Amino acid sequence: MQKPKMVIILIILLIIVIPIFLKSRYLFLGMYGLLGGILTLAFDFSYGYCGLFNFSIYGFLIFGGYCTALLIEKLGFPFFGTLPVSLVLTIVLAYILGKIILRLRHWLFGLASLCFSMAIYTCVSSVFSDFTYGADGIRLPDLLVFEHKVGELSYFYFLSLLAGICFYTSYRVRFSKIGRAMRAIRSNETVSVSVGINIPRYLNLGFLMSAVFSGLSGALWVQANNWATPEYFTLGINIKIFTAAIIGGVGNPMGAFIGGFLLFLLSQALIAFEQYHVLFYGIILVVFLRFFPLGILNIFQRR
Amino acid sequence: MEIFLSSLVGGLAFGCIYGLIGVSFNAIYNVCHLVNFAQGHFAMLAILSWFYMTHVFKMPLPIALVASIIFVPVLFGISIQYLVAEPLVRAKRPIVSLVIATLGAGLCSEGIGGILTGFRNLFIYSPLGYETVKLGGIYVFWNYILIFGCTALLCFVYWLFLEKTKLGLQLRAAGIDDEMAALEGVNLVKIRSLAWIISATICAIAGWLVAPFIQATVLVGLSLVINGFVAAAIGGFASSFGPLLGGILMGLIVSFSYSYIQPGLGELIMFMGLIGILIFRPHGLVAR
Repeated sequence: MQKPKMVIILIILLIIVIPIFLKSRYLFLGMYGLLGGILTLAFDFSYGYCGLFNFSIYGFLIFGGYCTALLIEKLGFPFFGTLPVSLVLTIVLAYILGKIILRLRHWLFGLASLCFSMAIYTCVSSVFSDFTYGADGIRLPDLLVFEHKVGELSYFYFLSLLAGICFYTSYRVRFSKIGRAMRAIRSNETVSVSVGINIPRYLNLGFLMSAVFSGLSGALWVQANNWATPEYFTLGINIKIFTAAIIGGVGNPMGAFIGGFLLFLLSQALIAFEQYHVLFYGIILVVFLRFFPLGILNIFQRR
Repeated sequence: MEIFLSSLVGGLAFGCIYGLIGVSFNAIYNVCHLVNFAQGHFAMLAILSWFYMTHVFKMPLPIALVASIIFVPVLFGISIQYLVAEPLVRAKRPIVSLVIATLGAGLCSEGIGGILTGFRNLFIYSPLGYETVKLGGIYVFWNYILIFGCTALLCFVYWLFLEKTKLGLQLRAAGIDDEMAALEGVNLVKIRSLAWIISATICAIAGWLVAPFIQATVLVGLSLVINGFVAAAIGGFASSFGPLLGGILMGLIVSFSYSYIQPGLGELIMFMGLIGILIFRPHGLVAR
């Protein structure tokens, strides 16, 4: 058997075996890390592949989470029924939004997507607070499958499966025709138009994919906590995503996933030192952008 | 009628603050073509140093203000310019990574401030107190009048500087075509530092003016950035004083919807409206 295949099988075995011996607190940390990995992949899809400075990850995270929570609370859907519905709603919203704001570029796009995110946050936390219960949030029932309660371990496996699918999708796209077209757009739009790349189509696709990933992780996160509240969704998450993507290296799914996983896991594990986190993110952002713009996996490769 | 007038005055006052932050955005953008995400952190640092100078070091107010404007925002602005912006521009990195780097610099200052204060509330008492004066049937804070006066004075001085002095001419020339300006003998690095200093000063003064009305913590920086950014985008990034218009529009929308419809709705309208403005007039309402 080839060497890479062995490595992959080994990793899958480790993912299956290790959680059995973990306490629920560490399992929760692992879940948080996996969600961070998916979110960073989402950011990488738009920034690393298409060069879009996308703040809307944060908005779609809230949207996906609240869609799931509201469908369960108001209409009594089962969780596995809401997941496809909220993903479809996310896709519809992302398609409409993408049609509107994708004609902007660079930081104007960033500003527009930031505005979208802040608008979603304002809707959830204050404007429609009668409907979403404002800061109290929505309590969700435990996850049931055929009237059996799904334990944390099974939920962790479910999450790892979805994270694996996301990673695999992202990895395959990176080395396909679509990924190459997207990276061509990122490095030079004029040249990519002249070789016949349909720019709006690929940008829309990248934007949609990142919206789907972030909506998915919002839905999963809400169910993992059994609680949807605006307090979970602060702008700090977006800063964490930036930091993770810059550490992992832009345009590199492996780096983005590992960076997101480790950063979210560590930030939750070291919550006792919360006041030092912001300084740490700031220093990481400045130092990496100045000295190692290709991320941590490429520090050694370059020499 | 009273509600109308008082929300008008309140909206104008907060609009002036947002407008000043927007003007300071453009002071950098027009010269360096760089969007500085650490802008609100100038205001935060100004509030923080005012707090430290008066409460911890017990300095008299005027000395405290002069010392804190020299030591903190100006120093911070110049160090961002020399440590973050200039090297990245020289290495020809894409503009988005520059923007993220300035965000990182702002987060550094927020982190240091947070470690110093423990993210507690910084109590800033206005030297004018919360006294009111009766004007045309409503009670107006003296602080609001101070805000209007300071905004008008600052903008007038800045306009005089830009239009009537030689240094202002160099500043504008460096913004229009930096290579040509360098050929004509403008020292680009110095002119850029001057832009950072002006921007930091305007932003610091805006921070002081708004400090008595908000629950200022070190986290206030990011929300001020967003508000100032929106004001600058509504007014137009290319014009120097367009953001003042944008900020006042924003303040009025937020204040009227707060008192007539529902709190929070104003911000929603503002964000949606901004997306509309970015689509239909991407260079803002006041284009150059």
